[in-house]
Amino acid sequence: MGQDLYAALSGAYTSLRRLDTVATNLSNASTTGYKGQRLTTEATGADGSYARIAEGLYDLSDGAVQSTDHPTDVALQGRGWLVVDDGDGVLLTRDGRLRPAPDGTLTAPGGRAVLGERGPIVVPPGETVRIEQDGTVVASASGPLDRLRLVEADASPLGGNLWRPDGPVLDVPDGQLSVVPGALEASNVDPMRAMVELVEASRTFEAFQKAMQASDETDARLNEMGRS
Amino acid sequence: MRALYVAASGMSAQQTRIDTVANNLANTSTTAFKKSRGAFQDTFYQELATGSRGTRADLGGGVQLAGLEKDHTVGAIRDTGDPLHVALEGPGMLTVVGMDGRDYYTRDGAFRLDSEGQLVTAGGLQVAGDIVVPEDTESLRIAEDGTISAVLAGDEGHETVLGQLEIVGFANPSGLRAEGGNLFSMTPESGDPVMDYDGETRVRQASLEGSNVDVAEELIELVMAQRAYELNSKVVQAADEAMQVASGLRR
Repeated sequence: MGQDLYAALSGAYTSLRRLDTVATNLSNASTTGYKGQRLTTEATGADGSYARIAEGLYDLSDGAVQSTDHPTDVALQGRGWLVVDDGDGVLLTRDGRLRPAPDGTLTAPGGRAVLGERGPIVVPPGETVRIEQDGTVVASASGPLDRLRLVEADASPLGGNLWRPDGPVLDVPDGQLSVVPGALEASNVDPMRAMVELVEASRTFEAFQKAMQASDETDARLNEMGRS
Repeated sequence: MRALYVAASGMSAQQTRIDTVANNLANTSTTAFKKSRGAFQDTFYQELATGSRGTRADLGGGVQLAGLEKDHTVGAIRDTGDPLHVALEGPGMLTVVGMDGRDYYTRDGAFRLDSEGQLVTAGGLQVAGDIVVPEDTESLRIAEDGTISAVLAGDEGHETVLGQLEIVGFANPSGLRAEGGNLFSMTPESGDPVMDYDGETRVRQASLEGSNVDVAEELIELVMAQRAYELNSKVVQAADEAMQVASGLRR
């Protein structure tokens, strides 16, 4: 019975996972700061005739800047992240929908404190707050409170628009990353590209199905030969 | 077939966007209406595979609604000529007392007097501060800080202070809950009302604030949501076809 049948199956499996990835990307077409994902495959097995998923790669290019005029919305442009407090460690995000919590702490989506260069940013009671071009958080009466901390790191997505750093978290040199106040970064999923990937994944899946069928037919013929 | 459920989450997110646009467009001429926008986030990720060189591949589960957020930008202020109408310039809100005795907050200053001369909202709720305008009032003035004074008949231009509008602010106005009837109530997210918030808010008499819905912006949002919905439905189709192909294996 054909080893080729299982080789084709491994190819069919990877095409379906690609379809899943395209589905995830398109479902997040309006998710703030979402980064498109794709999968790479690699050859495996003794003679390298099987395919398997090797790595998930993220397209970290900027999404479009959408103006919201909200004084504490920020869009990042360039490589890097906002930093979110996670107890003993930090998480990263590109979703700049920052809001003061009831105790005044400026929080990122999900309710965790967003970090400034000196730690959590607390808005004094009774004051409004806005964020300026260089990331400085300014309170209406008390003036500048702190500057948003901007970092660079390799990261993997966690869900809820948060990412977990995979390695060291380094401060970004000035000028590499710009903060656009009063705006949010749109998802960077390109519908055209996603549709091409969708067509490719379904056609590849079909081709592997044909290969499995052909392998099955060959086996059937062999069985018939044995009978005559 | 994960792609099916993922695409379904995408379709429902876009449906929420369309519903939000519909509600915004329906309120283009509602006094002091604040438009909403859905905020979306990706859901959990599952580890799919580890590559031969220690690389990782995670697969996402789709999209979820993080919340509907009210956009509290100020709408256009227009003169109405009615001395009982007020509009707010700045981020504050007017306090009114609900039927249940709790405080509610609004920027809709289309006030009127009820049969006893009490200052009430267009919906008949009492404006906080217990302001009663006497029957023999000749003219009424509402100052920038919300103080209401009247010149009564026979007083020869002398003003009597009737009371003051209670203007409050919130640390996070986006966290207020919309109660309908142009009213908002406080929530843990919005924080407690702060009196005379920031001192920034000024009252303008004989004016009303319009809706902050921008029709052109809503139409663009609608078109984009519709297209994104369509794209997600194509994924459903592709996933369905893939299942059909898989079942065609055994003939």
